Amino acid sequence: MYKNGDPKHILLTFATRRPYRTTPDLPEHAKYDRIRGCWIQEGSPLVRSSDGTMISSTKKADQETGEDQKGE
Amino acid sequence: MNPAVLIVAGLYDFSADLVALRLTEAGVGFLRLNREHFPDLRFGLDPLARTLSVGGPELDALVGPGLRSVWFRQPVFLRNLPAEGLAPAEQLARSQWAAFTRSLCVFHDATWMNHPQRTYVAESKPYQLALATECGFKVPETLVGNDAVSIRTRFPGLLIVKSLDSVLLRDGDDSLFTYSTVADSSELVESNTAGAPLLAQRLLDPKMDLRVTIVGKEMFAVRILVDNKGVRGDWRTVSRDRLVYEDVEISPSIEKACRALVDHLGLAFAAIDLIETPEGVFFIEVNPTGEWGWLVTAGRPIDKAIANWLAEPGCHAAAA
Repeated sequence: MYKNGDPKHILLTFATRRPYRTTPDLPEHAKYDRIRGCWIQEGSPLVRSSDGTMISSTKKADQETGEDQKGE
Repeated sequence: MNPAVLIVAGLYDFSADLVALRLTEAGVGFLRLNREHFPDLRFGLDPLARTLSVGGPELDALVGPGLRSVWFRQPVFLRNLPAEGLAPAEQLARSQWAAFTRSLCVFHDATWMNHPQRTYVAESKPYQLALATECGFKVPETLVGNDAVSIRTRFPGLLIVKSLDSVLLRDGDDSLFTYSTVADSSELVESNTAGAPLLAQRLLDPKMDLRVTIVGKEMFAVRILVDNKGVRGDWRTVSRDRLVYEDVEISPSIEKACRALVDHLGLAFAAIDLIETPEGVFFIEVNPTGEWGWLVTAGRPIDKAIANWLAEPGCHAAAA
C-alpha cells in the first residue's frame, strides 16, 4: 500500500495535469430540456450531428480521455 | 407515458443528446434519466411487477410495459475514488444511486446497450487481450504487474506503459489523466512500480491507429492521422485540430475478429482500438463504453445507428 513519502508511481509521473472541472463550458443561454432529452440554445438543439457539429468542450472532453467519465 | 427506450445518462453527456434527437426524429418514445436529476425526481421501482414509475418536473412515466431497450451510460463500478472526504450524505447518495441504476437490471426482457454485467467483465484489459488472441487478432506481447525487474527483462529498451484501468484522478484543483506512454524500461524501478500494477507492452513502431466502432451489426472504422502519418504513442495527446479521421475499410479477417470479440463479450456497442504496423494489424483494446461523439459526421452516423438499434433491437445483432 502507498504511504506518504513513497516515490511517485510511474503512472503518476506520466500523468497529464489539467484544471479540474465538474461542468463543461456551455454557450450562454444553453438550457437542458427534460422533455426533449437534450440541451437547447435559442430553441434549437445545442448539439447536432447532421454536419458533425459537437460543441468544443464536449469534443475536447471525450477526446482527452478517449472514453467515458459517465457519472463520476 | 410508457417509453420504448430508457436512456440512463448524465446531464453533460452530449452524445446522448445526439441519440435523443435521432429517436425523436424517428418518433420513438424514450425517457432519458440523468444522474444529476435523480434527487429532483420521484422513483418507484417495483421489482416484482418490473416497473419503474418516474415523476417530477414535467415528467410522469411508467417504465416497463412496452420497454424495448435500455441504453446504459453510467459507470458499472467505482473507477475514481474521491480525493477528499465526503460527507455521509454524499457517500450515501453515491452508493445508493449507483445501486439503484444497477437495479434497472430487473428489465431483463429489454435489450441492453450494454448490459452492466457485460461491461464489467469487458473492462478488464488483460481479459480483452486474452480473448482477442482467441478471436484471431495479433496482440502485442504484454506483461501486467508491479515487478520492475520482470518488465525490464521482458522488454529491454523502449516499451509502452499503460494503466490497467483508466487513471483519472483528482489532486486538489487539478485532474490527472495518464495516457499510454512510450518509455525506456530502464525508467521502471522498484520504487516507482511496486505500489500499483501497470500494463507493459512491446512497442510497435511505426504504427497507425484505427478506431473501429461497432453498433449491433454496423461498423464504422477510421484511421487516425496527423500530417498524413501515424502518431507515435497515444494519439489523444495530439491537439485535436491536427488530427484527421479517415474512413477506412478493414479487411474481412479483421472484421471477423472484431465481430467475434464483441460476440464473446456480449456487447452491442464497442469501440475497438487497433494499430496497423509493418507486422500487420494488432489489437490494442476494446472500450465497451468508449466515446464516439467526436467521430460523427454525415457519412459516419453513429448516433443514428445507436438510435436505430435502441428502437428495433430485435432487428440488429443483440446482446443480452
